[in-house]
Amino acid sequence: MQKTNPIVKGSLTTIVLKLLSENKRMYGYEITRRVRELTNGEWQITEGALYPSLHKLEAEGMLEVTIEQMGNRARKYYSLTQKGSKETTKKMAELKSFFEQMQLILNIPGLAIK
Amino acid sequence: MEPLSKAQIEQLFEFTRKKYVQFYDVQVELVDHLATTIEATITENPTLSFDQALQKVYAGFGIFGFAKVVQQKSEAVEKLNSLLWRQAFVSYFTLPRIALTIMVFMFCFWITSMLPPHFSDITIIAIWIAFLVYGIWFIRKEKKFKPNKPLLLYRDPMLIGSPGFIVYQICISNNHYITNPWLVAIAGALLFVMQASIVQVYKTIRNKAVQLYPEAFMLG
Repeated sequence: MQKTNPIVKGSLTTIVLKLLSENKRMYGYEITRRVRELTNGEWQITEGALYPSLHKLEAEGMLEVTIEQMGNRARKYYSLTQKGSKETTKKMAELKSFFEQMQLILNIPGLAIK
Repeated sequence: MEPLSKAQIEQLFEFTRKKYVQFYDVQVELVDHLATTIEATITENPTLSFDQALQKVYAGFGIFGFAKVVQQKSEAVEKLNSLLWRQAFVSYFTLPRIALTIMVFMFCFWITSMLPPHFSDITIIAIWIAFLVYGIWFIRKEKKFKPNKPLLLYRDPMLIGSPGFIVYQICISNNHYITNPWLVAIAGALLFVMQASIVQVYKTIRNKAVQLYPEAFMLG
């Protein structure tokens, strides 16, 4: 059984919001595949972690859903609401600040935060 | 990538039901996820059978299987309902709807002031009957929207009559009725706002459910 890395799990909301801000709409499997592609297979987001996160964001009014028929099955697409777009900008700024502070503490060689 | 057949998709719906996912809206999302992942898994490893691929994909949901997804989806739905209800409630205290609330307040105040004090119980009973009649009428009207497949998103409109029930409780728990027109007006306005908010949230959720899952309703 695969498990989502705790650090990845902690940042899952930000990852989902950021991916949705770059893509008009995405479905669950597409998000897991995209993360795997972007990290060359290093990071795996499990279904057990992804769907609760998507449902939570939907309940908070950050995401809206549409359903489309794809062949012989229905597919649920997620896209950002206006509130979700604002939250993405906020989360990205928070994450940047976090990395800057971490770099000041850890001083990891070769890691430059722009 | 060879898409799964209609029979295999139905097999996946059956699989989710066997794993205690009774809500159709949750099943739809899980089935699409399982199907897409199975298709990708079989493409990567063509020697795997459909059943083997399904078990492999299901393992990705962890030891609790779909239970965690259903539980957290349930919590998310509760949260969404509370958010919608709060927004609707507050909207009756902001422009333009506050005008309606003030009108109800003034009407209750006026009617209680006009009638002799011992008639205030009639006012309260009239409010109760009005809420009750409206609740019964609304529930009957909404019967046609009852889904034939259970949806986590959708709620029965039973709560619609709850403000009427509150008034009834006040009536039977007080031997002497409220005679102060200010109190009657505040209670009347609050009950109106509660009733209107519940109806509004119910309609929002029902419309969303019908729009997203038309096949779950007896509409066609």
